[in-house]
Amino acid sequence: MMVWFKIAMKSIWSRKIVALLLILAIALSTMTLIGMERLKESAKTGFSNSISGTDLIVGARTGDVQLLMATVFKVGRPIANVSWGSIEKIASSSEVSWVVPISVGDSHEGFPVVGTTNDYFKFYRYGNKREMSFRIGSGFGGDFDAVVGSKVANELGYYLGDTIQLAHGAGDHISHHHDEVFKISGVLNPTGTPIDSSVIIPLMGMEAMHHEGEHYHGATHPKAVTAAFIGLKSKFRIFTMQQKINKWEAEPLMGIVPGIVLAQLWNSLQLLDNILKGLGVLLVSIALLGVMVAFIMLVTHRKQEIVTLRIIGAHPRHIVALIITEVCVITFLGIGLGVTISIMASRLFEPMLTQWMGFTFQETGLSWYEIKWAVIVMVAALITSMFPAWKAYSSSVSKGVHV
Amino acid sequence: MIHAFLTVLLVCFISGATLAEESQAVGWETLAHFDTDTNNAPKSLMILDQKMINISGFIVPLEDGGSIDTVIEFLLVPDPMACIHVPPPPPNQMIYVVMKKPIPLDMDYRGVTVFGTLEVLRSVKEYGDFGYNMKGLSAEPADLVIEDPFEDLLDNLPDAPDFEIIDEYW
Repeated sequence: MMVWFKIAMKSIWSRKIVALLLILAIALSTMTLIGMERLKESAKTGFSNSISGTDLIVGARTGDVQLLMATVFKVGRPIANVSWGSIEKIASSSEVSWVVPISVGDSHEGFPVVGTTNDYFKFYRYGNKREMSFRIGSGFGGDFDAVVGSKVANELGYYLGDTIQLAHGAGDHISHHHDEVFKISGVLNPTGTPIDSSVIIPLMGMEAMHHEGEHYHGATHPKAVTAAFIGLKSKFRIFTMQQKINKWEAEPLMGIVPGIVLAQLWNSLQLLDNILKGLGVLLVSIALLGVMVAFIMLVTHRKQEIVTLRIIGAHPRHIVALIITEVCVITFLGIGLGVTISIMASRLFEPMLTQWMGFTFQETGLSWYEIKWAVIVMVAALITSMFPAWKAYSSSVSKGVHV
Repeated sequence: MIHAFLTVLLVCFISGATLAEESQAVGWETLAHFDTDTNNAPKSLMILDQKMINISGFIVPLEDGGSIDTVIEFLLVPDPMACIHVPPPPPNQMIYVVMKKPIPLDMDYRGVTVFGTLEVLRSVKEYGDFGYNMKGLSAEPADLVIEDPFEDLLDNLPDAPDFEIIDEYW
């Protein structure tokens, strides 16, 4: 048996270039297939973990997915604000248990800045109703304190008591404004959500940043905020409260139920996901067809080789085993390369994904769906190898040693 | 006592099919007897409190079960929430369900039947927790008939005027 494996390896080695191209074709197609799946799995858990325990999100009237993306994933921002008066009025409604106002749209070193109150740390939940916790320090003591997520602290090397300058504006090109200095009062524990890459500051600090020169002193609240997370006393009041907000008279507001919007978002992504997965399967099929074509042609080219093997005593089924082994070795190497590239690529593109979609790749190692796809491709390759193998078998039997 | 314990055991370990036999099927009309203004519930309703029931409706997802394509906490309502323009159901036409284990969200294609213990809440707080809670044990897809007002409209369209086909033209 080992002898046949050795012969197969040598046979591949003597056709290096063809073999290498076949390996590359399989690698690239498996990489695409696995990459799609990885992205999907990450999106599934990433979207799911980010918000929990919030009954409604209130913002200016916009798309519901847009409001969710801006407030929970800190991607983009709504076109208008919610006045503080409305927030106070909502907070005083009898249905409402808690309100956490937030302001988004600024960034610090590429990390989103969130203006909010200490209630954010108290009421906001992620994962399965998990609370945020501080690795060190605590919430805001004054208007110019800042709390940073674990990723911000790690990447920028921030520690308790460090001061950071925040400028108004999002992205890397920041319009010059009077910079306000914030002192870090706390670092959060990792959550696996967009909170990790957020710089969280008090609403009043943010107000001071935006109204340069203006006296914000003496004011106890900002003029407006981007949105607010709302917890209700009873789940049965969700729709009533939502309608109340959607019919708000003072300004055009909308309320969304995070669970519903997430489900909608997932439904709309699923079509895209199916299309991408279909393309991935198509790519793998094309690569395997290429392998099949190459081997059928090789078998015709290898008549002498097969005949020689027969002369030195090889049974036709040995020839079959040889062909199948060769195809399997090439596919196996291809899959291995593909998986390696996909893991490397996901590490490489992770920061971009976080910036665009607000979630991270969940696993950077080998996971079950990768093994699943590897096995499927391997089995497909085995089936593919049958055809050239059968061709080699029938020609070696019928033609015997007569060339 | 032993009997009750055995029943609980049975309920815990048998599949949904047998659960259907053990639980009492309840309709939304029965639940509507709860007067949420006066906080009064008739006896016929109160006997359902803490009982194993099954009821069919549509899911309004509130909390997913660790993955976005599953759901663990939801409001069960009699009509699909896809039509968001319809007025929200009154509190006595909603059940706040917390499942023991997450269920796939796509089970709710034509509604689901949920098996679990019903809890009738009657606290007298203003906007308090009155209504129905349910500890869900299992769920299975149901095939509910969706009353689509748009389809009704299509069915009741006035007949199109008859056109006379004039043969001479052809």
